[in-house]
Amino acid sequence: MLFYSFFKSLVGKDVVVELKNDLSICGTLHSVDQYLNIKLTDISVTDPEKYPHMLSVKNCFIRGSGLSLFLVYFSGFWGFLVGILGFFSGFWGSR
Amino acid sequence: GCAAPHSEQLLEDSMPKHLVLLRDGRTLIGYLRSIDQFANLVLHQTVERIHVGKKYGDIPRGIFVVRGENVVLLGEIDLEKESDTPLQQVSIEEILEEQRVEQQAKQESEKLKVQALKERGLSVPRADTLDEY
Repeated sequence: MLFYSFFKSLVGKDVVVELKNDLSICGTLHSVDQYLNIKLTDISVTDPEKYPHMLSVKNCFIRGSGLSLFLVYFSGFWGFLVGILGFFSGFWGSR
Repeated sequence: GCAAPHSEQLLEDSMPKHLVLLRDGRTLIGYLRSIDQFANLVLHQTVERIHVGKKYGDIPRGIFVVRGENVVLLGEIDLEKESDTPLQQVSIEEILEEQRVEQQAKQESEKLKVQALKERGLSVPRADTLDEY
């Protein structure tokens, strides 16, 4: 519940996700659910096209169980504050 | 009565094609007919696409029912982007041969790696077991 609330606060942000099969995908977080399944829009494969099958895909659904890393870039002071507040609002919200 | 084949073709020209990445590394492309809360999928006119380097080959597979736990990613294929791909489609025989060569090379280097680790008293854990919720 904690991280679900945290990710909900990140909807609309650009993220980079790394899957367990070592594929890294960059995209805008469109939605997240309780299983931490995510939907990304406007995706691009970050690493050189070692994975050419994704070239014609713009939007995708990723099963939470396949994710290993979730990277968010918080730039600047306000970005950092948004990140911390989002995390703690998720924490308090789940109590 | 049954739908005329022409109308089914019309329907599928406007339906988005989907790409599915499976946990075992396979790529399936087809028309998504159903999906549920577990990400169980039913794919219609499915094709298994094998990529080796800049080449790819499509093996027609018909109707697929995929259990959700095997799904890694489900993507919607943008039909415009698909038409200007730098990839080259080859025959099934050719892509299977390329894949066999690639797998062999991978197995060789994997064997060397495991041997090197073993000599140092280390082992590689298997990464394919699913951790349930």
